[in-house]
Amino acid sequence: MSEVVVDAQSEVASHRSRGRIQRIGRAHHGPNRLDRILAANRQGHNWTRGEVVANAAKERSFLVLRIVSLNGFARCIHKLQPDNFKVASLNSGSDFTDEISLNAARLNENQSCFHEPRSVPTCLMAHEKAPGVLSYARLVTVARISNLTVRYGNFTALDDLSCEIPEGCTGLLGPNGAGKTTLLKTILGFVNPTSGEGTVMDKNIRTDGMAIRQLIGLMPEQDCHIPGMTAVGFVSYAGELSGMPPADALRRAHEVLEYCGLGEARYRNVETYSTGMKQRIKLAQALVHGPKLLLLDEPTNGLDPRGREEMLDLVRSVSHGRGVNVIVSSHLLPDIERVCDRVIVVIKGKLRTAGTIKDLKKLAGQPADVELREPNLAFANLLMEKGLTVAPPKGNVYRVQSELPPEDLLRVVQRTAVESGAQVRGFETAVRTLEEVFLEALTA
Amino acid sequence: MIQIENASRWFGQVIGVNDVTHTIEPGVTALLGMNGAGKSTLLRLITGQIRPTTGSIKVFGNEPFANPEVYKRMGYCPEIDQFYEHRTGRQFVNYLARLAGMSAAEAKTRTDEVLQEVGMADRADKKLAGYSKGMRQRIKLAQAILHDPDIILLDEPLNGLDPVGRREFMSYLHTLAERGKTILVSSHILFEVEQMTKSIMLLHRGRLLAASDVSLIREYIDKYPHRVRIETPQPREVAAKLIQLPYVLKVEFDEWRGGIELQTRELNQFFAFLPTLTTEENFTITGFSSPDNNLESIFHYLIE
Amino acid sequence: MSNIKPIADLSYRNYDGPLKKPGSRWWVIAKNGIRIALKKKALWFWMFGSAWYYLAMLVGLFFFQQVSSANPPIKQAMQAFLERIVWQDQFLHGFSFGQMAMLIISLMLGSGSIADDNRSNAMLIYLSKPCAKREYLFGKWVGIALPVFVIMVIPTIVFYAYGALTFREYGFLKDAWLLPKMLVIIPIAAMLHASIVVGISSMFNQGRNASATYAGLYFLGYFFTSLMGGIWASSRGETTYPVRHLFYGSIDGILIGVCKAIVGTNGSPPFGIQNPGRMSQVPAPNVAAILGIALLISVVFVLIAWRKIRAVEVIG
Repeated sequence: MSEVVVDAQSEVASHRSRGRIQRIGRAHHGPNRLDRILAANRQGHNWTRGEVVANAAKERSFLVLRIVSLNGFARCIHKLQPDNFKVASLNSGSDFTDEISLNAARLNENQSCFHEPRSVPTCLMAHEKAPGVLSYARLVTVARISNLTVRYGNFTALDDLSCEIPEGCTGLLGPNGAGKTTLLKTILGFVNPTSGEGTVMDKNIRTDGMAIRQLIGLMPEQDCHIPGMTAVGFVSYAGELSGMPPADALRRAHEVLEYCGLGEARYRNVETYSTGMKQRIKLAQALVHGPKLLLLDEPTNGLDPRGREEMLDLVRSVSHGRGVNVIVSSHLLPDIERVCDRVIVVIKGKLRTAGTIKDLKKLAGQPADVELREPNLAFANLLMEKGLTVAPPKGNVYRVQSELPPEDLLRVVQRTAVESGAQVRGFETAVRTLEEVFLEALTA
Repeated sequence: MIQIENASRWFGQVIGVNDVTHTIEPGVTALLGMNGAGKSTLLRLITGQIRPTTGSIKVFGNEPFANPEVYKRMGYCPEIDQFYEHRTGRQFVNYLARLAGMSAAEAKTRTDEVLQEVGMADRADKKLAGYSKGMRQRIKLAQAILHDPDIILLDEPLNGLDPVGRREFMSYLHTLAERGKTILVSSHILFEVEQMTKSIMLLHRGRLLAASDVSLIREYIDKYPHRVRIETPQPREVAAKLIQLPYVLKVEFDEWRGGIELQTRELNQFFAFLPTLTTEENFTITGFSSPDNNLESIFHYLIE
Repeated sequence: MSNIKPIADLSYRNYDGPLKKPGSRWWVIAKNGIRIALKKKALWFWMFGSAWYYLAMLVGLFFFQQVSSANPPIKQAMQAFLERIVWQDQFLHGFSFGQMAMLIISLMLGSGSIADDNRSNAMLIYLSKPCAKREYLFGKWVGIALPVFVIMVIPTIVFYAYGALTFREYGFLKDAWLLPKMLVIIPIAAMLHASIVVGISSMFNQGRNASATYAGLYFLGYFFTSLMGGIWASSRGETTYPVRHLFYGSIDGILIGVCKAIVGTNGSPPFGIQNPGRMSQVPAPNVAAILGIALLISVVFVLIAWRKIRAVEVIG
């Protein structure tokens, strides 16, 4: 029997089983109304009435329903919310991150939010105002840093830095020596700040360093394997160091190494490995104890293009929908674009920019990038005569500014191209590259 | 100018480079390949550290092996990261300047100039042991350009640099190229290579797979026809129209993003035809692009 | 949505199993250190080598016993020998003659313990896990001290058992506390070796350099001690004051001193050879003093290791 707990204040329904609370969504109408609706649907026989439990500590009241079948309950909820959502599966996640897979095809109006494989909560938050869509009461924060100042002697590494790292995949950008490394050390609970506070997964960085490190996996930049061990030995050793019992550590080491793509090679000595395999082992030892937060420092260091793709795919598949939050620190901005949803830019110890990559890349006014087969001056002039703003070309690409919607703009552009003898080879909404975002933050 | 003619080099039974023929012109050329493809071997052949087992390599008409005349005109920025850690950056560069044959006074002025050019003038007086990766890369570049060489070879030069450093480094390389120098860069980071140059040499398992301009190479990859993505709210109608064209080979529907992707061998004809869809037949198209016209796709296609 | 899934989902799963609290990691580290060391084949050779005195005595005594049962004159000689032999001193000799081998064993077990981790950046792994510095250090220490203890204790117990069963009438069990005393001395020796090795290992980046340093220090001291012993013996104790104390001024010396002091003997020639009176043994030192020195040195080296293991440079 599982329990479903509906939180009256935040109207969040949670599934509690085996001591873990897992939210499955918001009860759109509050517990009493929900109660009545469920009562009306009792034919489902999937649940029995529970009791109202007042949790004095949090000053909330819960409606506890004892249910026989979680799936049945989910079906029941589905009937209540006819607007096309369905709980496809409930994963037994941790008590920290909430997991829910939604069948995207069922979501008609709000389809766009599921077209990117982001972490679901972020996506739902964006649409919490849409009717009938499940949303979460709050976005879970992975790390919260407030007014943190760190000084090494005279040198100020972090200067009154405040940031919140939400769940999902976050990129950490910054020039060398700007405090990125110090921030990572802070998140690991190593640094004694001069002033300020911080919590990582609800644990204080000043006092609970050990507990934090239990929940974090670090993939360092340098090579750090212990010579003389096989990959399995090394990863299970790392697991045991994190507190796993030896049998579990070995089993889990195999599982994680399989996931990271090391087949038979795992029985060989680590010193015989190529760079790509060494990077995978570093990732494996970071994942072996099932951390809730993964810190990756230059994960694609030294990898050739194929290795780079495989590593990025690995990171992406771990971070999306699996309850593992990732912070990637890298200088390679396209890597970060590929893997992360948000970025934090730290320059000279201060937080300069933070936000989702999509938002940061947006350009005001929706300009379009027009790529021609070869640069054509007549084309640009003609466009300008028609009242559009055209920037000087970068290579074959012209940036055109206008108020027309994209399809109309395209028509105008095509017509002009035909008139001026140019051939349009590409037409896309212009976005800033992450590099431009970064450089702008630098010079701001 | 570097002329490589049927050069091969093997180590015991392991092949390093296998029958490579190419001429490297002035400008920036990128040397690409997987790990173990022979890039380092080729660089060592050009810098004259080893000799080709068969074939020949000529730099400015002479063999580079143990040839100080050629060395005087070459600068090498290797991938290794070991220095005299107890020296400062300035002392290190100065030392190498003296080794190159400059007098003490010349070496001093030249060191200052070079450190200025790479942007290390203010930080060069700390011990090398405390340098970050980016600072080390700059020192390496500094020592490579000390004697104003005509050829500069760089092995993974952008490793460890932050985006600002990257930009500066790349623009500096461009300046050097504009002065007429031959620059050969070996790198794994394809998107940077794309920004640096259009002419590449692709090595795979010792053999030269492709050596030319990126767009030209794409034209010649027959096995993979060009892909074009079209974003439109009317995918089926647009597809129906396009599929009648004889040179469109395949049309796929992208449920996820709501558009179509097609394959064609005749890009010119296709893009000449496309305006009629929007202007004359009034279909709604919100965007289109060629997703595989970049270096990463070429790399993928060639190394399969 | 059914619960039956014919194809398993092998994508990444989170780990939900038990996790031990910090405080027990030292055993993991110790176990790992021991396992790595046991793989070295030379270790087994030196293990037997460290017990060579006991083995020699066992073999000799056994052989002579067998022979003497048939041969009266040898039996007589044997009786005389067994009457005059000081059993406690045999343990002293067994212990002290094995120290050279114990040095080599300690080095094999521990010279790379921290040095290798320094070189290969494995510190990053250790310290990014919930593993405190003290646990790490203690684990490495135990990884040396425990095997050293076991290697020393087994021959001692075997010899004791043989002697207790065979030579009881010759006064083997005269000192009832002999075995417990050995069981106090041996851990002290293990502690000393382990502490020094751990301390020296943390100072270097390569196990080899650590080995060379400790071995060098040890041998210098060993020669010094032998020199002092020779001076004392040849002058029959009538020499200036310092020699008697300087004899204990090396690691070898300290260990011999600890053994002598706790067992309570001044020593006698090895193998029960008759002493015509021309050589005399250096008397035992003060128990408290020698134990204090041993403890002090151990603590000093452990503190060195503690300072050298830096937790801060986790990310380069």
